[in-house]
Amino acid sequence: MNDTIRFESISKCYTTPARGDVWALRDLSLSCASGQLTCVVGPSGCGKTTLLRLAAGIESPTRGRVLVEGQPVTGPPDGIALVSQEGDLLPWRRVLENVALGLEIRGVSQRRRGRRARDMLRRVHLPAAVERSYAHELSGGMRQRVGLARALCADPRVLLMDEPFASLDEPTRHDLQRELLDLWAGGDGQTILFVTHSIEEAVFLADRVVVMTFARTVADIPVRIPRPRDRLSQTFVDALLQVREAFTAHADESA
Amino acid sequence: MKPNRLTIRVALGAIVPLAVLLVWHLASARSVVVPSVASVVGVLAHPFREPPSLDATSLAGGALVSILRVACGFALAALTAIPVGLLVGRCRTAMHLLSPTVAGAMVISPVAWMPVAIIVFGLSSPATALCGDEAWRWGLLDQIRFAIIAVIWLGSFFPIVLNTAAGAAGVRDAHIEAARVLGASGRQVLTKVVLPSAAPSIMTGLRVGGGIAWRVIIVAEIFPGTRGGLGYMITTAHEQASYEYAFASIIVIGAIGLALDGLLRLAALRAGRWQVKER
Amino acid sequence: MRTSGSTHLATALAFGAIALAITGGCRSETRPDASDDQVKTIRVGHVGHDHHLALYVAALEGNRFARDYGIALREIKLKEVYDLVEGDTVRARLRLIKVGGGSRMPAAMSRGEIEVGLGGIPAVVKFADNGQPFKIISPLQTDGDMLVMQKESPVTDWPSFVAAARATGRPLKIGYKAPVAVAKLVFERALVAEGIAYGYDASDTQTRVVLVNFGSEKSPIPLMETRAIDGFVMNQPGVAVAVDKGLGKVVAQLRDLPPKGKWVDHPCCCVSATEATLAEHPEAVKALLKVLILSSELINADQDLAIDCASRWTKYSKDVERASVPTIRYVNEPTASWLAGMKTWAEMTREIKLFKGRYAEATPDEFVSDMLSLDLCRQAADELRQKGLLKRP
Repeated sequence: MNDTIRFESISKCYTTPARGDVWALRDLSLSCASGQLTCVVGPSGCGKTTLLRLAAGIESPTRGRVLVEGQPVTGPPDGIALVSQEGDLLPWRRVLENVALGLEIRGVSQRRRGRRARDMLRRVHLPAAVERSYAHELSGGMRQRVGLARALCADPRVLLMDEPFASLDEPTRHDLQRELLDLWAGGDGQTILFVTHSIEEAVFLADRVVVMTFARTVADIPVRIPRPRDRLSQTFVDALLQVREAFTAHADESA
Repeated sequence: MKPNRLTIRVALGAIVPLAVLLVWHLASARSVVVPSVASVVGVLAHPFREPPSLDATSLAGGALVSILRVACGFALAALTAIPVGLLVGRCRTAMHLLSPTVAGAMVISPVAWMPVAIIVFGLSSPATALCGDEAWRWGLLDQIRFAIIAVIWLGSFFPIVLNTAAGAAGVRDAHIEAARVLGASGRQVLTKVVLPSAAPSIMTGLRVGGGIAWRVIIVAEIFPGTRGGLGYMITTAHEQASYEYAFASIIVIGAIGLALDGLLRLAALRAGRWQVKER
Repeated sequence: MRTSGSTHLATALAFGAIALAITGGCRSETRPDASDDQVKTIRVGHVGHDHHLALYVAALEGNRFARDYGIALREIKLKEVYDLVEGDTVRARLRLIKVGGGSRMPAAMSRGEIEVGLGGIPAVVKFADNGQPFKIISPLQTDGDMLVMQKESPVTDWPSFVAAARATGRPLKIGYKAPVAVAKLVFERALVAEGIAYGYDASDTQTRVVLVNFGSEKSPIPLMETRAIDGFVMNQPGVAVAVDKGLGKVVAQLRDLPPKGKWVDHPCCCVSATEATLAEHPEAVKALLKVLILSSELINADQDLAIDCASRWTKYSKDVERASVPTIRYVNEPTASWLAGMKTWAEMTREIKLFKGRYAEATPDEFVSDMLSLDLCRQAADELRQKGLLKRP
């Protein structure tokens, strides 16, 4: 089985001063096949961000284990990149330097990484003038593009995306979704784990939609519609309804 | 024709200094202790001349010695305090271990340590450490007394630690994680995320520390064994009643202090450029 | 992130400063000197004003000393380094260090920063009393202490001062330099002899004379100008400086204070050394004492030269030195008068219970024989006399 990401019976517990022990994930198992775009959908606070953080190696599970490319995750694994909701651009660096960060960490020469970074900025459709700007000078949409460029510039084999387009307006969101798909199609077949609270976004993007409710998965729905997908087509709507049904069926359990 | 804005600004800024000058001039006419404006200007106009009525080096020589001492003490403080501050900011154990001491030591005037410094270091300097009895050949290097450096270090060290720690503690986890996920080692996280993120706070600490260092040097130089420095000049001028040198030294001290603060403020602005408009 | 331009600039400045420090001050102008491998360096602490003129005259008049006496200080670096040369032999390399007055000198000696110190006797003895292995090896000077009053004060001499102190009304405020300053101690004993109550607290109604400490580094001038004090007791050249600035008049020399005759030739500064230095370098110390003896003679013989040297070294004006130097008695031999003065002084300190350690119970004779180590000084004087270099019998 060609599983790039495997979550094996993971549970994650946080101890908070206010509410005591909180289980973000309970005995959850999930696999993501290589080269696939898997979307995890769920309400806010259901643990989907935790899932990504475990895969990224910046947190470890209370129980169970996470494997990326067959190796247990003990720290940030090789070949992954994370795109988060706020972009997390380093504010003291200009855009070009942010994008090139991954290559810089790896010791790539300044000229080569500058070239690659510019190339990446082009591919996310950002004008060349942007490269000398600071993060705070950019709009939300541009920041997310830069975040995406930074992640892709590092040449990851696994891309983890945590609601990256949630704070954007709808037209921008749709733009970026299309760009993501284009980049993915034009790349080397990265495995993408995409977390969102928008069912519609999940259906638009994913090969497979995993529905989560609090601390666990409740449905695993393949979406076999060929891309580019038409939001108004019947197949799309059917898939949407299917996911939504799975969603609402278990929504009551959230309490 | 209305005077333009620049002229008005300059005029306004000049009012207080001119008033001070006037009061000074009037006071000097009826006082022995207050030297005449002309005599002080005379001293300032010849900064490289060895004073005919004061057992000290020239004004410029004294300034150089004081600046060198402050530079050494302050550089030492920065080099030691920044790592300590980073540690305290990022590691809880270190924080619990060191915070009370740092906070407590910071309120003690560094000059209070001077007698202790004298006992520990005496008249030793890098020159005496290097070549013992022949140290006198190494003019300036022999003037940089360890006791004085120690006192300056004590003055600048703690504010730099405190501000660095605050900056280090304030580094956003998201930034650190972003770098780690991209494969950054611990050292790379430090150099590429923690340090630049904390840089504005560090610069604030350096500015505070730098100001203290310069203020301390004047008092520290009152202590014995040295024939150089602006503080020594002021003390000796009082002793020998050559007050124009005291006044001239004070003016030079103020000017250098201003320049130093200006430099540090500029550096702070550059380091914090990215912070300015962050919403 | 590329290293920014400002970081490069800062680094360059830092290296520049270090390079400047190392090269800018080193290898300053010096004359070629004798081989300095085996010659021992002796560090001599001094105060920098004309009480220690004997040393400065010798330092400035090296050529004359070499020509006339065959023993001299040869300048290596002005005011700082001199070779002590006797005949053809370099006895020692002297490092002159301006350590300051009062207790600064014995403090430096106790820290091992100087081997020989010129300075006030009370402070040296205080340190010895606390257990430091110091010995007084030679007198340096006596007198040179005055009582100065405000210019318009009705006081013109000691009797009128006593009268003014006894008069009712507010007490007289007299400034002093340091708690164990010779001038202050003598003045206090004089007040006691006159039966005048003195103290440090201005609110005490019994006190007729209030003593005000103006600190050893500061001068009495600011307090005199603001009329915060009515006068002060102090050593030269502080007295001459104040008078020169028009801020006071000398009303009495402390040597004339009662009990009559007791304070004549009262010892002020001495030459002291650690026991270790005396044991390890007797020849060098003796040579230094010879130089000082000759220097005192020269000062007494040629006051103009002395005043000129004083002004050149201390940078006090010639007018100030002209008023100051003649009032100081430069003595580098333990004359009978000086020894008597030391005994008197020892008596006085016993009366006021100044010493709590080694000399707490000592009689003046015991004190003198323990604290003073005058053999080298006497030998130095004898050897000079044999060569016919000393005019005084």
